[in-house]
Formats: sequence, structure tokens, C-alpha cells
Amino acid sequence: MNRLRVISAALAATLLLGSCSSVVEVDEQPEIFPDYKGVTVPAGIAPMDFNLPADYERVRVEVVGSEGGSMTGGGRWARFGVRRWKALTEANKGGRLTFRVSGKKDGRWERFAAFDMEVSREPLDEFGITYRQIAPGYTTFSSIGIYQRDLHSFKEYPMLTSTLLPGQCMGCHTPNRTSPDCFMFHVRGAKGGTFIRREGKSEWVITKTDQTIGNIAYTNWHPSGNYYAGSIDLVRQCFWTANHRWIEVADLAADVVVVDERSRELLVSPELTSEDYLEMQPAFSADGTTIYFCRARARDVPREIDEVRYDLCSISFDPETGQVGDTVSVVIPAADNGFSVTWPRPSFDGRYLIYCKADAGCFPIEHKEADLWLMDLQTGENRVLDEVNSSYSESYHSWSSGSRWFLFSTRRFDGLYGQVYFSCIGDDGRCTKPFLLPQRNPRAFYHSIRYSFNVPDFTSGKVDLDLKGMHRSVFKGKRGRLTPVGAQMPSYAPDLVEDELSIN
Amino acid sequence: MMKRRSAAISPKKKATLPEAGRKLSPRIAASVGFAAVLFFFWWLSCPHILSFHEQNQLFLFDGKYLAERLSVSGGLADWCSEFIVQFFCYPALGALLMALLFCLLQLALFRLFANYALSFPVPLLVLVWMGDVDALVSFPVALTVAALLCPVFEKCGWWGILAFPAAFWLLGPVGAIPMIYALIRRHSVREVVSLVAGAALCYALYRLFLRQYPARDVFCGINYYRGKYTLPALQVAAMLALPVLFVCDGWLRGAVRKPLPQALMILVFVAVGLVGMRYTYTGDLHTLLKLDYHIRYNRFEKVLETAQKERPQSAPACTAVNLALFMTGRMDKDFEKYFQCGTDGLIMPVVRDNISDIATSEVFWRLGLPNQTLQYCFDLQESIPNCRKSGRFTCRIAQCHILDGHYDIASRYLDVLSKTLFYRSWAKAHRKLLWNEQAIDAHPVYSVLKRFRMDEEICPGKVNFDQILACLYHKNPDNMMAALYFQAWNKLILLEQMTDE
Repeated sequence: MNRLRVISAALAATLLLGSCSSVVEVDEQPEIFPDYKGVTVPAGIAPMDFNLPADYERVRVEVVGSEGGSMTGGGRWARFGVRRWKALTEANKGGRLTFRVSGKKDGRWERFAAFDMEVSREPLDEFGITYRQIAPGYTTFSSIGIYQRDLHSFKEYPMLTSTLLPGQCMGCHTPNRTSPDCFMFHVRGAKGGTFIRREGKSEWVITKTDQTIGNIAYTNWHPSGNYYAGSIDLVRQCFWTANHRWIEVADLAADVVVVDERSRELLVSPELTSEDYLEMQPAFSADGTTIYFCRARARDVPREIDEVRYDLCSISFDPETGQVGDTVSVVIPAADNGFSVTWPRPSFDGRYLIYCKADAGCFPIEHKEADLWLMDLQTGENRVLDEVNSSYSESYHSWSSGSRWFLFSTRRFDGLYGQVYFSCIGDDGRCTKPFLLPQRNPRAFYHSIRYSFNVPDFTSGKVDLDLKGMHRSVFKGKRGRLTPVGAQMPSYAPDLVEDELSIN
Repeated sequence: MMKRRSAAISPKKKATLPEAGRKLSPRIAASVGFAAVLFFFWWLSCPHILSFHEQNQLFLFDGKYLAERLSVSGGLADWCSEFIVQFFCYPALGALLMALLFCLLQLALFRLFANYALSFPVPLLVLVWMGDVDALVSFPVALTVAALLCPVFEKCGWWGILAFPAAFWLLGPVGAIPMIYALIRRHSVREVVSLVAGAALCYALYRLFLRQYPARDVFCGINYYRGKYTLPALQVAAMLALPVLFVCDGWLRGAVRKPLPQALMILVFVAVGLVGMRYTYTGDLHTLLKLDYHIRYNRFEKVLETAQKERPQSAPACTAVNLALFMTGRMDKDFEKYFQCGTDGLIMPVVRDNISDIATSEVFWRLGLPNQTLQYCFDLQESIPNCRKSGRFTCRIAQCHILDGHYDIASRYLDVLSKTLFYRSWAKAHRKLLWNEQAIDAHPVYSVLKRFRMDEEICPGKVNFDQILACLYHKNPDNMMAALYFQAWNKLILLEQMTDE
């Protein structure tokens, strides 16, 4: 039956093309953008539209599923109907889709060799992803917003944009294990604060206290939702003179803290707030009993900016008492080996941890050499994810709730604008070829967009952010406060002032 | 239902054709005179304001651009105004368009008033308001269209319920003026119901489609004003003035409508307008804009003339003047003759607005520091308060990427510029440089800057800027700008030390 379908689709296509003009068979696979050849997609993903090179006027595509079903697409680019595409992927879970592409150039059709796309058995049940859209700028940004995108269609919904909160920066939407009901994001500026939604309630909190040098950033939720960890950073930017690097971001001071959301206590541990070290980017383990974080020796920044290298460390955490352990373990001694580890992200099933590795620094997105690495938490093995990395930076990775899919941000198009890619990790620990977030007419979209997709994350459901009163609550509303408990925060030099990135 | 003509506002009497012509010709002459004065005003006195408006937007001939504008209320007025503003890169043409716009506004209002003189206050008020360089052309465009729609709304009957929200969506809150006009003219229950129902629909449109905007912005104009923190009093006054004038028009009858009293009224309005303009069209910001306008078109002698005449005392102006001193070859001999304010007057630190750092970005470009130029231009563009892009800064950003060899990124910006009217030929010429090292090495500007630029990755935060100037000069002794700026830098440091002592 399946073979019959393949033959009839091929016959229909041949007759159709033959009736128009002569068709030239090309032995090679087509050059397409995005490069979806050989990728693995989840069933139900939005149509994987693609473009042929710009000199092709029309495209026709026949897609045949190995488990059944077929469809055609085409036009100025390879455009697929949403419903039929989803049905085809659902019908071919665990199988493959074979694409036969024909392109019209200079009045003549060319028919290319077929290529395949795998449909994974692993479900991606998430509704979609959230991300911030921001121009890849320097110290100022005007249009900025947090958006969510349905992965099963092309619909993008603004969650919060700078038009509603002029003069305020916003970002770092952090869900608790992709939950749309337990999340936080930060608003910075004169009326800044951290918005927290948890257990059906929403509140604004000022995370800076009298004892701390700034607001909490780089937050990560404890699995229970009762705690979150974050780092308090004094950030400096430096701008290079030659043409290989643009920006370097460094911390003048950084400490990791844990917040008990129930009591609004800021738990200060001396092991995580040392003056001799820069501690940052904490992440809870899957069972919530360990905090992974990055730690580097404090340096004279910016003079020694290229010497700042972070190790991956861990420390125990008792969720019953909220106590942090008293011994820091160095999981990856990166600094001694001449590299820097940032952005640790354990999978939610406790099996893996993905991190960024770069030559130095804490801001891998600005490091062309930054790559994703995978640690097997069961065996302790580390390896570079060659199958997903490119010659440009990869970072800002996040896991799906099932811990099989992950996404990451990369600048592989041009080294400046960030895009979101997805990959699936198999039982053997190998990752599939990553695919770019699908868009209608992707070449036109990705070439013209002047914003980067920043800090993407999965969301298992559509985030319902009630904007009624949001403006008022930011500019005039009350703020909760945190109370530091535990050890005394280190006292930094008085001339260290928090330098909030300004907004328009 | 019998139509009731309001006793408050009496219709114009029918006149014979020669009589009408005799009445109209002085009025038309006054309107034409008004337009002529405005043309010369904008062309000769305010080309810098026109240039500033043009450089704070990037109008694209693109369906997506139009769709973005139309997706918010006031979008059609925005799109039309941005279409007009793109022509401001030619000051005479820009001045002509502005004069025509204001004249059209005045004539549209003339149709609505029995008292001819009352057609002047609002255009004059808007003219005064536009001395604030963040006042956008969207507002007079919206007002003009609203004024033209007033007679239509007067006759549209129950369709006003839908026409009002449509006008609101296309023009912004100024779209309420035709509805208010109809209500004042007709005084009927139908207009009241239309106004209330239409307002409810406007509110529904806000709740459904404009949730990402504060209510204040939606109902006072999302894009009438470039700044995002303030609601300008003059803008509010202009919006409220029309309904008030509609009412006053009915009260001013009899002898007041004769030519002499009308002329006197116009003179009074013009005099008040001139007083207002005296305040809004002068100041340090205007001086800085004049300096930047001349820098933009490489008229460095004019920069120095303006500086001598207006004696600016700010760091951004100082940066502009020092750049002009270098470009005219007078830096070593005339440096002390102009106001100096330390090294900030040579190289401004980052200021997060869309004007202060422009001269410094030009300095960086000429020094051969494309990364610093890129940083400043990118931030200048991102500092545009209404989140528009800039043709001027996008061009410079593209140039920096071409110089850096980042052709993929440059291509992206050139493609955007290709969708404009006045930058597309520039983009086409620069596209030939992409992936063409030979063409870049033969280019009069890029070949020089490529020799000047630093190969060494230095972070300016690690070293003082004078060390970077020294490195630039050491790398290429032809870089006289680096040498002279280094000298000037050290001179200023010495002066500061002497002053401290």
C-alpha cells in the first residue's frame, strides 16, 4: 500500500512537471535553507518550510512518509499546510519523511535527489518555547520583549513588551521545569522588580537587599518550586578594537544565593559568597539535592579579563531545611585546563548535564568558540556535542520536560544574530542533527529580522500572563522584599555600583 | 427625524460667484502666504530639524512595514508621516512638504469654521509644538486627515458608530475629532449615541488588540511623540483646542466676522505663535542638531561658523567642533579658541540618547576604529525612543561590518536599505564590495580605514584611550587624526591638572 502511494505520488509529480516543461534530473540533493536534510523532528512540529537558493523562482516538493501518507508543498518556497503536515508527521512517528524537491530556474525545472527527515519516536509534548527578542546591541536597547511561540504552528504571542513598560528592561523568563504556571522574569530599570507566578498567585519582589550588591539574576527553580537559586552579579562590558571580537562581559563581583519563596528569605551561604571567587549561574539537580554552579577566581577586570575562567562546581542542598552544604566540589576543573565552563543545565531526569565551554569568560554567546558539552551524570563522562555545534557560539540551552529534547541559541548564520535550534538525545547519548525553529518563508524571515532569540526555554503550556494592571503594578505597585538570613554577605569595595543595563 | 441645524453655529450664507471670489481671494492669499512663510522657515531656519526627523526613521517600501504600522492605532497617520519624512533628506523638498501639510491643515479647518481666523490657532499651536524635536509629523498628518473627515462625519448618520473606531484605529485619538465636530454641529441624540457607542468600540479595540500598550499611550497617541515618558502639554492643548474652537466659532458672530477683525485675530494668533516658537525653536539641543546636520553632510566649515555664532558649551557640541577643527586642518592652531571640556570633548563616553554620541561615532570612524563606531551607532539607533531604525546609522553599521569583513551581516543591512527610496542606490553600490577584497582595497575610504584599523585586540577598558590613539598612530603614521587627537588629549589632561592645582 505504501509502495503504491510512493509510486502514485511520483507519477503525479512527473506528469505535472512533464506537462509544464522539460525536467532536468540533478543527481545531487538540493541546497536548501534551513538545512533540514537529515534532521530529526518531533511529530506535530510546525511545517518545516524551506527555501531553495534565491535564483529559483518556484519550488515543488513531494513528501512521502515511510509509514504512510504523502503530501505536496511548494510555491515561492517549499510551503506546507499546517494540518496535513502535522497529520503526516503523526502518522510517521519513528519513521522517515522523504522529500523530492523540484525547483524552477530560468524557465526550466530541475529535480533533485531525494533527502530524508526523521520523525522521532520521542514526543515533544511542550506547547512551545519562550524567548526574549532583543537587538544584539551593546549598552542600550529600545524594543525588547518576551514572547512565546507555539511549536505546532507559526503563531507567536507577545507576553510582555517594552511598549507596555517603557524605560524598563525585561527578560530571563525562567519557568520551573517548563511549567507555564510557575515562572519568574525580571524587569530592570527605575521601577524594576522580579515577577513571580507560583501556586496561582502573582507578585512583584525586589531581590536586592541592604546587604547585597544587586538584584538576583540567572535564576533557576528548585524542582519543588519552593526555592530558587540565582546569582548576584556586578557586570561590566568591554568592547574590543579589532575585528574578531565585539563585546566581552565580565563580573566584578558575583555570589550565588538561594531564596525560600515561602518565607521570602534570602539564604546566604559562605561557600557561595566568597570574596575571592566569582560564583554564578546556579542550577538545581533533578532531585533538588545538589546545586551546580560556576566559580572563578576573582580577577582584576578588565585588565585580566581573558584570565577569568570558571570551573563547574557543586554543593549539596537540603530542601527540608534550606541549608546549603559546607563543601564545594569541583566537578570540572576548567580554569586549570585553560577553558571556562558556564551555563550548567542538568536534565530533569537526572541523566545528563549540558554546559557551555569557551576559552574564557562568563558570556559564551559572545565567544565564537563556545560549544555545548555533555556530561553523563551517571558515568561522569564528558564529551563535546560535535553533532550540534558549529563554528560559531552555542549557548543558552534548555531541556524539555521529558529530558529528551533540548534547545539552544546559536549565532551560526552570521556570528551576530541568535537563532533557536532543537535536537533530540537518544538512549545512546548521541544527539540528532539540530533543526532551526520553523518559520514561514524562512530565508525572508531570518534574513530580515533584526532581533536575536535570546534565553529560549520550553514551556509545556501557553503562558497566560494577565496584562491588565501590569503597567500600573510595575510603575506604582507594591513590592515584596527579601530578608537575608544565614551568613553575612561579603562587603565589596564601596565604589562597586550596580550598573544596570540601561534601556530606552 | 427632522434635521436640526444648530443655532449655535450658523451655516455660511450663499453668495454669488464674484462675491464669493472677492471673499475668498484674500483668504486664499493668506493661506498661500502662510504656506510660503512656512516653506522658507523650514528650509532656511530648520533644515537641521528636518534632518533629525529623517535620521530617526527608516521608511521601507515593504508590505511587512505597512502591516506593522497598521497593527496599532494611529498606524495610518504614522505610515503617511514616515512616507513624508523620508523626503526630508532634501531640505527644500522637506520644507515644501511641511509647508503644504500645514497649509492643508489650515485649509481643511477653514472649511469647518465660519470665522476664517479660527483656522489658524491649531496649525500655529502644532508649529510651536514641533519645535520640540521629538514631536512627530504623525500628529499634524492625523489632525489634517481628521479635519478633512469632519464634513463626512457630519453626514454619515448612524454609520458614525463604526466610522469613529475606524478613524481611531487609523489616526489615533485625534480620530475622535470628526465625531465631536458632528455632535457639535448637529446636537442630536444620534450623534451622542454614535459618540458613546463608538468610544465603547474604541475601548474594545484597545482591550483586544493593544494590550501591550498602556492606556495612556493608546488614548493620547501611541506615536504622536517620540519620547515615551511624557505627554507634551502642547500636544494635549492642540487636541483639545479644536473642539473648543468649534464651539467658539458659533459664538463669534456679527461684526467679528468682518475682514478687519478677522485679520486682527490672525495677527494676534501669529504673534502668540511667534512668541511660542521663540522658546521652542532655540536652545542647546537645537545648536547641537545644527552642528550634527553640518557634520552629516561634511560641511565642517559650517560647523565652526555655527559654533562661533552660538557658542555651545556642552560636551557633545565640543566633540562636534573638535572634529570640524581636525577636518578643516585647524586643530593645532585653533583648538584653544573654542570651548573645551576635557577629554569628553574629544571622545564622549556613552550617553544613552540618540544625539549626543553622533560626533564621537564620526570620530571613531575616521580614526579607523570600526568596532567602537559600531558600538556607538548601534546604541544611537537603539536609543531612538519610539523604537524606529535609522537610515543614517544603518548605513554606518553596514560600513563597519564591511570594513570588518563580516559580509553576511553587512548584506542583511544592505538588503534592508534596498527597500528604501533614498538609500537603495547607496546599498547597491556597497553591495559590490561584499566578498570583494580587491574592490575594498581600491575604495578611497575603506582602503584608508583598513590601513588605519587596529589588528590588535585591545579592550579600551583595559587601557586609557590616549594609549589607543598612540597605538593607532604607531600602526600607521599617516593617521594624522590619531596623532592630533593624542596631542589634544594630553593637552587637555595637562590643563585639567593645572586647573586642579
